[in-house]
Amino acid sequence: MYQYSDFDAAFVAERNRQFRQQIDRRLSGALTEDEFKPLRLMNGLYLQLHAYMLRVAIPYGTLNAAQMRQLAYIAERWDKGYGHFTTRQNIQFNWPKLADVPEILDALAEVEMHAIQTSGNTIRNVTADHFAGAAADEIADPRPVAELLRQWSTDHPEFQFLPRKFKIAVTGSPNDRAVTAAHDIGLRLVERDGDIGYQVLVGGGLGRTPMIGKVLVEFVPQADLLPYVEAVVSVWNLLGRRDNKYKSRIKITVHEHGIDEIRRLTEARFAETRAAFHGADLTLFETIEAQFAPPSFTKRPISAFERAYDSDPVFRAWADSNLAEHRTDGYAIAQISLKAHGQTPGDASADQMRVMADIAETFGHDELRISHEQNVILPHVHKADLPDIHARLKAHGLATANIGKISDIIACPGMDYCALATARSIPIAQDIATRFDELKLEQDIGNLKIKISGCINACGHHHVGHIGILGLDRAGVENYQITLGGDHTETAALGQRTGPGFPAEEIVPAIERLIGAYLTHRHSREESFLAAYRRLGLTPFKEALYGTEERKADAA
Amino acid sequence: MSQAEVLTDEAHAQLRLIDASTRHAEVVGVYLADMRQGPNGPVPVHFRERFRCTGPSNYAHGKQADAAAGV
Repeated sequence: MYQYSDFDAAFVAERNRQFRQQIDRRLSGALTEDEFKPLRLMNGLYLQLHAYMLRVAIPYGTLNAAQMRQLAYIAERWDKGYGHFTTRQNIQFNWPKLADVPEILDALAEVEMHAIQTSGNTIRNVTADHFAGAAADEIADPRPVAELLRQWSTDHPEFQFLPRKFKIAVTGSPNDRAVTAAHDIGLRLVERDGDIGYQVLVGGGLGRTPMIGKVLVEFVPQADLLPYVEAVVSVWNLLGRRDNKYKSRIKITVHEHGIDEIRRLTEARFAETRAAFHGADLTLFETIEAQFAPPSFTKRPISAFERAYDSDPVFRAWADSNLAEHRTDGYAIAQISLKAHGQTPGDASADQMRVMADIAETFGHDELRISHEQNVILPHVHKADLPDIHARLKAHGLATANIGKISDIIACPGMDYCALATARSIPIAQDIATRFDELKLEQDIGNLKIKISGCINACGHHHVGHIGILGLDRAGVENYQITLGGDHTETAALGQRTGPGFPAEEIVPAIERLIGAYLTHRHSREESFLAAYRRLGLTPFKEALYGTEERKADAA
Repeated sequence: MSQAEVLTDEAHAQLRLIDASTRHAEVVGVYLADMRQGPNGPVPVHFRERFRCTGPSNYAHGKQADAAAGV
């Protein structure tokens, strides 16, 4: 795992010192909120419906035990005893007092964390595959390049006042778990003739104008990556629409100018940026790469795992849904669900954070990951230790066996917290999860991703949910639109809107009808909801939602 | 909220908004919200302000907790 250099530590300490003074000036009345706002946004401090919110970056979703414990400490000492993990692999604290924020930031700096560039029109936290360095299907670990990009983009003088925010995601595996096609830049590690390089996607994004990213270039060698990415951002920095914030993201720039023109401009700019890089970035990359060396794995029998798997149905169910294949024999990637039925998706209490930290330290080579799906990952655990791990998780409400299932729902904070929201998301997620747990249909339904956003900005990724739910305000009433067929992976697709939305009290029955249609029409249990939707199209699901008559009326 | 003063004159409301906007040390992000009379006094017309009056629905935090604690 990357450790701060003296430069990093000094930089964060200086920013914290500056922000402490800015907060002092705000509290003394020397600054108004309008004057203070751009300063706080440079440091990840938002103002929400009930309080300030501090968004802390978790670079490429990687944490060690000490960092997780410090987040628990912050939650308990200065917040309300919990934190909310987000779809951008960050953690948000919903209740900090302004006067406490400097202390919180200093506490974060103690464990090499910060909240810089988690808001504002800058390059945001670089996200990556949450199975990075562990997945069996990986070409190379995406974290070293994500760290390189983090260092390059942090306080980059050219990119502090971009037309709008800018998000980069990296996957090291052809099975895209990092949603790269829905980012301003998506980087996919590829191998060509034995050399590692990057396929570069540009112009993806969700929000009010969802777009799937387009391939800008098929292969950029490692040596050219930073100058190439710098060229892309630089071209957009000049072309991007500053006159209209709804048209300022790079997806609109690509749409308006066309991918071929963007490619031409990028290549021209790349000729200049490449000449300005003299290889220091490559030396740095090698230093970073060395810090992401895999842990020393051991060979041990897995009989304890097999015994528990054969004798304990609860453990077996958890193992079947929450484990993923590790690249090393005898090891597994274990996902800890933060989606206990009826609870808030992505929330963990301080106690739960400490339990996860302890497990990571004892059994997991001191590594934890946060997924964009708002769960926590133990990337390297030996199978022999899994019964112990499961028992500890279970004792703290962390052993829900639902990864990838109908109750493993992504939900943004919605109008329970967010000032931008038009409706609530969390209660809808809670109600759906609770209902399908009561129906005992979860395992039978199988792989299904429901994603809920409380406004068109789509933090809950509803466009790429197999079932997407978008909360809107319709004449002063919360109303929920459904989209179907979205896909966040390497076969990325945007969901199709089914028709008119549903009021809050009707959304769970509507989802039940959709699931009923799926169970009726699927070929077998092996045909997932998404596969069935792709085969059948919208019609049977629309009928289930609205009835046959409405469909006929629509067709007329 | 049930003890809130409801302003019915738009010009008066704008003046009060300007006044509130200058009180930087007490409040941030002030705006005018529509109200209607309820059985126990005025209530916000829109659910957004109703939520702001209580707090989030997933935990008993915010104003609902303050009210319960008599703050």
